[in-house]
Amino acid sequence: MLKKLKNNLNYNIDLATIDSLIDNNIIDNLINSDPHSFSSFTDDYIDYHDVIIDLDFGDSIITTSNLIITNSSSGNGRIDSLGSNSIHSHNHSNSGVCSSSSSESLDWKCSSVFVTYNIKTTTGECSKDVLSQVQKRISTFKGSMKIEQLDLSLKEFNFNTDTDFISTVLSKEIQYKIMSYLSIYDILSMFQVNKYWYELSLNNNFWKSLLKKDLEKWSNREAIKLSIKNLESRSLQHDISWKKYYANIQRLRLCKKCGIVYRESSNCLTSCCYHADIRDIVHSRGVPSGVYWICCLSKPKQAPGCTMSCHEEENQIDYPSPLLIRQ
Amino acid sequence: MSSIVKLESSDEKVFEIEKDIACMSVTIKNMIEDIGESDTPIPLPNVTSTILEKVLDYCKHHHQHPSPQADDKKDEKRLDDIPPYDRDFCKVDQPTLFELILAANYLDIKPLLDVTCKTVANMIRGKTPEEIRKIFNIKNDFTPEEEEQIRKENEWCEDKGGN
Repeated sequence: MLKKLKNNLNYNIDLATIDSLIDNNIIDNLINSDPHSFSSFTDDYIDYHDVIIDLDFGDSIITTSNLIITNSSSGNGRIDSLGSNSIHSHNHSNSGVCSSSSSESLDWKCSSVFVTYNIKTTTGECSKDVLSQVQKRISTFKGSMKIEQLDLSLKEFNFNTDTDFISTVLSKEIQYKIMSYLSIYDILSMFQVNKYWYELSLNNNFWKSLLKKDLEKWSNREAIKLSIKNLESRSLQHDISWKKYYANIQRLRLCKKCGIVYRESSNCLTSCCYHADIRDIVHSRGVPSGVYWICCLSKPKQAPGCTMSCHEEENQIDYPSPLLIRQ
Repeated sequence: MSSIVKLESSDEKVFEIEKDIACMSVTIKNMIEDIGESDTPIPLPNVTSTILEKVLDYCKHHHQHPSPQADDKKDEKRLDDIPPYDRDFCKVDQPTLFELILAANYLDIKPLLDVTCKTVANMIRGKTPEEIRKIFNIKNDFTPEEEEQIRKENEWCEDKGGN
C-alpha cells in the first residue's frame, strides 16, 4: 500500500506569451504526447505522480484551461490505462478552449504554467533523493518542452486555484493584521498589487500604528517620539498624514558634513563623524610643518572625522515638513 | 477529567470534545458561560466540519503541549518563530488556509489566528508586487500610468540598502 500523499511540489514555468506556446507546438506536443514517454518517471522512489499543467492566462478571458497529464503506474513501472484515459479527456477539453479563444482574441497572453508533481512515496517520507529524482525528471521534461526559464524553487503551497482569497475572503481587520507582520518594503509591495490594496494604504491609522510599532526598532526613537509629540500638539489628529511622516523619516538623506547617506530613523548623536575645522598649513604645533586638519592635526585627507554628532541634511526643502494633509 | 461539550459544524456534524480544549476558543467559552452546560450541541454555523476538525486537532495538540508563555512582547511580530507543529499545520492549500483564518477569527482562537496570518505574511515576504499577484491570483487593475505613479510615490523607500 502506498502511504498517503506526502508532498506537493510546485514548479512554475514562466512563458512569455501563449504565442510561443503555439509556435513551438508545445500544446500540441503535450496533448499528443505519448503517455509512455513519461514512463521513465517511474522508478524505485516514485510510485505514482501527476503532472498537472495549469495554464494561467493572467487577465485574459481564458480561465477554464486545465491541461492535465496524468501518469500513474503501479509498483513495477507498468503504466495503467487510467493515465491515458485522463490524458484523453483533458486533451479534449483543452483543445476546445484553444480553438474558441484563438477565434475571439489573438493577443491573449500566457503568464505562467504551473506544473504540479504529487508524489507518493513508499517510504512514507519525501527525502532528498526523491526531490533530486523529481528535479531530474523536470529537467528532462523541460528539455522535451523547449521551455526556457524553468524555476525549480520549491514552494510550499499549491496555487492551482484562480480565486483571489486574500482580497475577497478576509476582512480588512485581518488584512491589516497580516500586514502588521511585514516589513515596510513588503507592505509597499502589497499596496502596489491593485486598487483594492492601494485603498488600504490610504488608512491613516494604519500608518500611525505602523510608525509606533517600527519606532521601537529605531536608534533615533527618542528624538522621533519627541517630534511626534510636538506634531500632535501643534495640529489636529486627522490633519497629520502619518504615511508622509513615516516616509519622511525613512527616506534617504545625504549628510552635508560627512557625505554619508542615512535615514532619520537611525540618525543619533554618534552617527556622523566629521572634521569641525578646515585643512590648512600648520606651523609649530608640535608636528612637522605641512597641511593638516586643523581640528585634530591628522595629516591624511581621508582621516576619519574627529567630531561626532547627528547627520545633518544638505537641503531640507525636498520633502516639506511638517507633513500635513492640508497644504 | 473535564466535562465533554458538543460542537455542531455548519454541515451538521457533531464533534465531542473536552470542555477545557473547546474553551481555547473564546467564542465557545463565552457561549458555554452564557447558556450553562447542557447536552445540546453548540451550533457553529460559520465553520465546516473539515475545518472544525482541523481546528480541534490544533487545539488538542496545544492543550497537550502547552507552549511556554512568550514573555517578550517585542518579539510578537517575528515571522520565523512558528513552532514546527504549527508550521506543518499551516502547510495546506490556500482555500483551506484562508478558511482556517476565518474560523480562528470567528472562534476567537488567538494563537491559531496569529500563526495562520503569519503563514500568509511569510508567503508575501520578499516578493515583488507581480509575484504577490501570481501567488494570490490578485488581478492587477492599474493602468501602466497608475502603476508608475504609485511606484514613484514609494520611491522614498526604494533603496533597501541604506541604513
